[in-house]
Amino acid sequence: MTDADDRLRFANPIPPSAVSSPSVERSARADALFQEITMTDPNASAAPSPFSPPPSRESIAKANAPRRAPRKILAGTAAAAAAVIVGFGAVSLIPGSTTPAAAAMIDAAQQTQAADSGTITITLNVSDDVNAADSGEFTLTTNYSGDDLSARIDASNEAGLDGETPQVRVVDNVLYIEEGSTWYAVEDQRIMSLLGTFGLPTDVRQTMSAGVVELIELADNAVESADGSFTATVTAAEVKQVADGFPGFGLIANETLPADAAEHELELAVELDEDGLIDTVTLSGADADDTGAFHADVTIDFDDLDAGVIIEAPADAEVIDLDSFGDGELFDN
Amino acid sequence: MSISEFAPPVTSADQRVERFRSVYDSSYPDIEAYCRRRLGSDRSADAVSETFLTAWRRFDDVPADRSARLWLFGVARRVVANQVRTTSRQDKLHLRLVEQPTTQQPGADVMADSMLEQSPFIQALAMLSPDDAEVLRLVAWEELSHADAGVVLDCTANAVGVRMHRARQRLADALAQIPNQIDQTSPLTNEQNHD
Repeated sequence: MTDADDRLRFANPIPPSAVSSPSVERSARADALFQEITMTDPNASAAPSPFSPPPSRESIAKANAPRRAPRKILAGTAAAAAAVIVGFGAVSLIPGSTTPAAAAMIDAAQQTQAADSGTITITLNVSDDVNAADSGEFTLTTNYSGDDLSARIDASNEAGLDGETPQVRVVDNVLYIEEGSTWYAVEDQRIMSLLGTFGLPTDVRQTMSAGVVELIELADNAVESADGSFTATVTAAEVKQVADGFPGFGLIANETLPADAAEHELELAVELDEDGLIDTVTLSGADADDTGAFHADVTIDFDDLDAGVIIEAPADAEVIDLDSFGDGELFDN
Repeated sequence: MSISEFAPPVTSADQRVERFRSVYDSSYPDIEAYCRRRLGSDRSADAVSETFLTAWRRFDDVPADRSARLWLFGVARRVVANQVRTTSRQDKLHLRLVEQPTTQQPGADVMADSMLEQSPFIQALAMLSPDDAEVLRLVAWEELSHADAGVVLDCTANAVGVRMHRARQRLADALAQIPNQIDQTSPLTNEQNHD
């Protein structure tokens, strides 16, 4: 025992003697809390509770509940898919000196970006001990060929979300939305302007790859740990600046970015395929408070690059007249 | 084998409430004090509620023996960390605590918060990493043994000893940056045989 230990104990704002003899008010508060808690359904862990802290982070799952009604699909699924995609765009270059490994990585990313068709799979894994409902896995699979695309989100989390969202396709500027065994087609070009407000790109290939290129360009300290395998660190502040809104990137950056530690580092790993193109990009973030309560990583897989992915328009799609939805409210703004 | 395996299964609603009452009554003062020490009086209530609500919902995971208290400390630690993080990263604990209303009669809560504000040790603790500060507080304030603190921090008693040693050194360094408030020659880095 040291003098310093004694001083630290003396600095205890609630000394043990005060804990062992609580006030009448504190005892009454404890009894009231007990009654409140034991009246709640112990199995309703995912439900909002007055005891729960307010939602602290956005979850892409909240915007992507599976099997919505057709009307909601238009404003929900398509918007969600578009919102997912928007994160890839609107980026700015950050110049800086790069290592040879970083330069090789950037070159591979730019070549990958040039592919005219392919499949991009984004998987977000979240582990959150505190807000357990946020924990889960979310996967966005997008096939693209030129300006055509198909996208589907598969989500499962502790809150009970389990399953795939309806698929969305864009073929020759016509939007197709899946609902059960039925496909709906929206030929009205106003839908594109509507989706444009959510950031649906007119050039899917360029826009989807640009975010990945931008992220890799941040990693100017990259080293090649093995042939075709690169590791680097980027700061949460950098990721937030470049990719806020990107599924996973924004979540990871925000949750690992304490105000007084903007340089908190996140791990970036990049794997190239045998053709020297990007195979996998992984960004990992852990709780900046280092309590182990939160961890998330996002993995982006590129497959079938320039392999001639075919995006077909569904047969017998039922054409939707947008003016019949919501009294035209979709275009009020 | 994890400590949760010692917990008997809860078989009925009444038994669940009864068992929860026992854990709640024996742990509430310690958990409430833990939250108040870290968050101050005005913000601790939500953390206490969240901690016990988590225990209520995951009661099958709560150990049946005295480890229940340590399990709750572990939950409270995460709840407090989450609250600090999500409320405002810029609103550091020591800064918030100085916002106590000056017109209020100084009850026990206000005096405790005032103590948090004024103590150079508290100021120095706030300068440490969350891990360093937490291990010091668990041992000095919650009066946990190294073994018990290890359960809360999910590490061994030996690891707690090592962390304590390092944390004391860093606390001494932090105190040295706070001028004219404490005897800078305090032997903060001396070892202590806690267990």
